[in-house]
Amino acid sequence: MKHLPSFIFSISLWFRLWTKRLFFHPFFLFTLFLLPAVTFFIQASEFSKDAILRIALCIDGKDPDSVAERFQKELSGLSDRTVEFYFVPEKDMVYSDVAEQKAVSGYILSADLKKNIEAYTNEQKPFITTVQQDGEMSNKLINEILLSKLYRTHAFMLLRNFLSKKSENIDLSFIQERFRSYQRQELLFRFEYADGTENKLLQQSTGLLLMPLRGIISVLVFLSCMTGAITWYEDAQTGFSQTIPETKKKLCLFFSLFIPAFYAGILGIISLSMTDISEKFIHECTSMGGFLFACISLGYFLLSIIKRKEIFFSFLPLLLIGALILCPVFIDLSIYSPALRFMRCLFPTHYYLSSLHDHMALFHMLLYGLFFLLCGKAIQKFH
Amino acid sequence: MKQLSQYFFLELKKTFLQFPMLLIGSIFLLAISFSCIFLTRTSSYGTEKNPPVFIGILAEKDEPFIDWIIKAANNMPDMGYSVHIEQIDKKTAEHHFFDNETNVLFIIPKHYISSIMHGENKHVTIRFSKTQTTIVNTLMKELAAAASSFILDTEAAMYSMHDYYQKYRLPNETKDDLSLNIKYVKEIVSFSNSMKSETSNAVPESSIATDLLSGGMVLLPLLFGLILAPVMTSERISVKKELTRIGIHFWKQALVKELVFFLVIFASFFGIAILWFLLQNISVLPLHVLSESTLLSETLLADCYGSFFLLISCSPVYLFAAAFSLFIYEISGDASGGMMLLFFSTIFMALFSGLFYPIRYLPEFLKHVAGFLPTRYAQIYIMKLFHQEPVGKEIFLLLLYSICFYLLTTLLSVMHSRKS
Repeated sequence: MKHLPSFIFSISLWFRLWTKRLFFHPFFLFTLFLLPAVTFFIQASEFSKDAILRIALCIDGKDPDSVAERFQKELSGLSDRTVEFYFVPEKDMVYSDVAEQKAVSGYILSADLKKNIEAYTNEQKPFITTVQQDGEMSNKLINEILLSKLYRTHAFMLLRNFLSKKSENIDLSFIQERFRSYQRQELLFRFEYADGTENKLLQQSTGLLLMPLRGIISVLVFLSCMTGAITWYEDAQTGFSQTIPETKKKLCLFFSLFIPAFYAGILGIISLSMTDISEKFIHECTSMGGFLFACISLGYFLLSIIKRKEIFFSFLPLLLIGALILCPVFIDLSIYSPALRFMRCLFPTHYYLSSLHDHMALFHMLLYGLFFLLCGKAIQKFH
Repeated sequence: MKQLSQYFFLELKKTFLQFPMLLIGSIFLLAISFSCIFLTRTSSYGTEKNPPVFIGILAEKDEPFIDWIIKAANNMPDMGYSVHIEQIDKKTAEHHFFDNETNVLFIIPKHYISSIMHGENKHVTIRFSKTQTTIVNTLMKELAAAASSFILDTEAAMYSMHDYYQKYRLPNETKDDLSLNIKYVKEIVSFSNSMKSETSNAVPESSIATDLLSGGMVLLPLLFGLILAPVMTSERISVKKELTRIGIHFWKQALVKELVFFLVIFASFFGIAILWFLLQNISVLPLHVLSESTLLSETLLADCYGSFFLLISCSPVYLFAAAFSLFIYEISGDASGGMMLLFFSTIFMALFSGLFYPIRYLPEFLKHVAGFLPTRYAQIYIMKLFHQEPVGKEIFLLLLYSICFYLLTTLLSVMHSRKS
């Protein structure tokens, strides 16, 4: 090691020393190692064939016609990780399944579906009974999904009616053959992130529980950084920091904040790499690096303005809950109040979540870090 | 007994001496909740049922039907979310994205409508402003598939019509093409009329405000444990042993700490209840529901009574939060590890018990896991309070969990002391 310049040697020494200190907090490390374990658990649960939305269907009546039979056959096989249709023999079961929350909504269709659609083509009378929970946000979307399955028959009947007005004896078999030959299934929409790159999350129907994982990891990294600040307060209380030479104090402060966040960041990236939501390794590392810088700067700023450990503790829920509900990790409150969009700029998590697909957000994150670093330095200087 | 009461008052004093920090913490928590409520009410979109989601449409100026589509979409009734759709140019789109003003941007390719008519399906791009995590976004692909299917089936019908006209040499092909196209567009827009909706009465109606409130009422006491980390962190073994020597056994020490935590949460949330009352005119929370059984219904005091009733009724939740936080700090032994573990366990328990996403969206396996989580029962308990349903089972389970965590804390405390 002697051949290394003294500065690098000093940094490597402090790095190892502070890493060793981390081992005196076994439950801190335990929590960090729990992160990949829980991620694996979520990923495993996502592999199960259960869809997020289960929809109960019932063909009411005996001897379903050809359209009802085709509809039943088509939808029984249609199940992905988002929506799953299943058929029940009795219409009462639709009501009970929705009431017991086994299904998010239910639809009752008549056995003579063809006749019903035909009648609807002439006169718009409802022929599907939907059983839904009031206030369920997915109701409208599921209705559209179901209607799109019925639309094929309706579109054909509209065409048949239109052509029958043009010629007296229409060639139904020809129309049927042509209509069938043109039918295809294709996604005519492409999902992108703000920077124009492909949004894999939506393109692949990623599981619902994996979607907030990145946000949770970012909040945990942030909290790790803040626990580093608490260690610094404790060191000041026990007199440990007084034993450190004045010239090395800033380096020690940096490592107090950096080391817990660094290991949390590494385990966060490992956890993300176990899932479908991870991006290119280099992008993950760049964003995490910028995020660590923003967190450390904010921690340094807070340490500069708050002299009492207890007050610092009282800040933490504000920062954590704010990040969870505004950035957003789970729920986006700014949908209900657009004015809250400005508040999210106070939290580093907001920049981290956008930075992977938005170079401007990465730049803003670095500016955010630089701003708090300079503010902290200015306060330290005046103090 | 005297020593126990002395120890209790000492612990209480120690905690309340740090009241400035508790107060600041509570004020911060209140600041978040009230700024959210206040901004929701006073936002420029306050007159709407819900403030709008802004959708931008980026298309060529002379692209046909775009104006009509925007007008039709903006006039769609009962969307759940109020959605505002507007055509914007490229420069504005970028500006809006960076300012987070646009939620979703639809990029319509050049000559899109004619491309559909000529069977050359260009892809519409849907661009999101940020990482999306809500259930609505999860359904976007399904919705896009439904929209694609509407377009492709219409296309199939149109091509079949052309083939038919060509085979039988029917006149007015161009004119009929346009009229059939318009007929299809009208049918697609009005196809939802084919549905007759019935609401399942077995499931009580819950508003977004009630869902958020019940989730928040469970999460806040648990996260309050983060503020109290210096107080909750386990005493040194020597102090514990000394306390045992004078007759305050480990189980009594744990009980005192738990009671102190409970009282602190109660006092802090009492402040929240007062503020709810003072700011009841901006409250969006259905607190008056809780006072429906009294004569106060629809009076000024209804929200006040409701908020205090809720505060007192939530005692089992505070008790569970106290027992759980104490248990976490006992096993971790230090503030940093305890805080990390408390936050981690709270967040994942909340995620798996349906506090963030409704339980019906979770996989079957996780629904079974949720059945073992106390946070699930805590949320059901608060929801049932709002729906004025019997809550005996939930109170019993929350107390059972509290006792279990309390016993585990005592056991760990004894084990730590023996180990040393």
